[in-house]
Amino acid sequence: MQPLPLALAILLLAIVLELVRRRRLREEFSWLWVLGATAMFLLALWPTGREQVARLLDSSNQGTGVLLLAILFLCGVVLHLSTRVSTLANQSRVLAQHVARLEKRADDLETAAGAEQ
Amino acid sequence: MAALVARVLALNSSVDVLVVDDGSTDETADAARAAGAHVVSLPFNLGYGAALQTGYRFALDNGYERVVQMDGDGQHPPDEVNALLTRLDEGDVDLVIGSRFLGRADYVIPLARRLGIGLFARLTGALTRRTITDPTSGLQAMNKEVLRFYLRDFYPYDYPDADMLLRVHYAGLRFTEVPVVMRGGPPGRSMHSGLRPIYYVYKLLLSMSLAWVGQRRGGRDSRR
Repeated sequence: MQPLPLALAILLLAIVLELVRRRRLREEFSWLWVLGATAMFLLALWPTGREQVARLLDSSNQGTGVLLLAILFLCGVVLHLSTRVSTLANQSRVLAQHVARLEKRADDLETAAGAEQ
Repeated sequence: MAALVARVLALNSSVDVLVVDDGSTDETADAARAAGAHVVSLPFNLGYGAALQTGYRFALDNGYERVVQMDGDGQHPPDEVNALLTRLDEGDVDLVIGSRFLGRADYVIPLARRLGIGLFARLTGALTRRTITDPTSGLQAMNKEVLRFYLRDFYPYDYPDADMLLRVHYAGLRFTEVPVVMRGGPPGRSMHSGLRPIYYVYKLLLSMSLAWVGQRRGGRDSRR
């Protein structure tokens, strides 16, 4: 058992849950962090798991293996967020176009109403 | 969609029908409008919960006293609208939920879905100390108090389900279930397809846990 990573995993999990509770993090984005914290927790408790991770990632020692796994995980998080930002950018564009069309329609209606009076 | 709108209006001419078009790219909105429904079209897909919330906002802005929500895929038969409204009109509850397990499901519910509903029914029942048979039912009738409650920021934009029922209970709002007959939706991509059921279970468990913790810590949700 490795006490420091274990404590860090519990702290990370607690922070994530508190952020979701305060609605500063949506459930949709929390699962990756919960998954990461759970993996960290399990690996801190389970030396055989660390060995297997190191072997799987072709690493000479456990520490490097876990570090590589952490880097892979963070790459996954960044990629996930990048796709979400791309979607949001597209949606902002559609929304702005929609608002512009509505403004134009409102202007036209006001102009038509003014002309009738 | 047009047939559904026409059927609802034929069964109860005193109701208005609102169709929330959640970013569909087909002719759904035009067909619903032609059948006599009000239509609000969202510029892109916002999710089931966000679409429902759009409807609640529309209802409150336009002074409606009662709302029945139903899915547009035909799973919720229009024949049940009056039964839900009649129960709501008795005045002793704020929210009426149509339960396919008190009534009948006219289709085979997939095993995984049945197990999921069973799990959340038991969990919601244990946390509310009541018997709840169908906590994931989207067929609901509600009054203005529930409408206002559903517009709060914790309302999920994706899957408002058992977690909202729990919050309704903790907020002191009164709800009940009535038996309904539900049908299978049309074939096609469900919002519970692919890996979504895994996320759905995770999300609901997390959301229900946080609602329970919030209530235990004395953070009773106020009604307004």
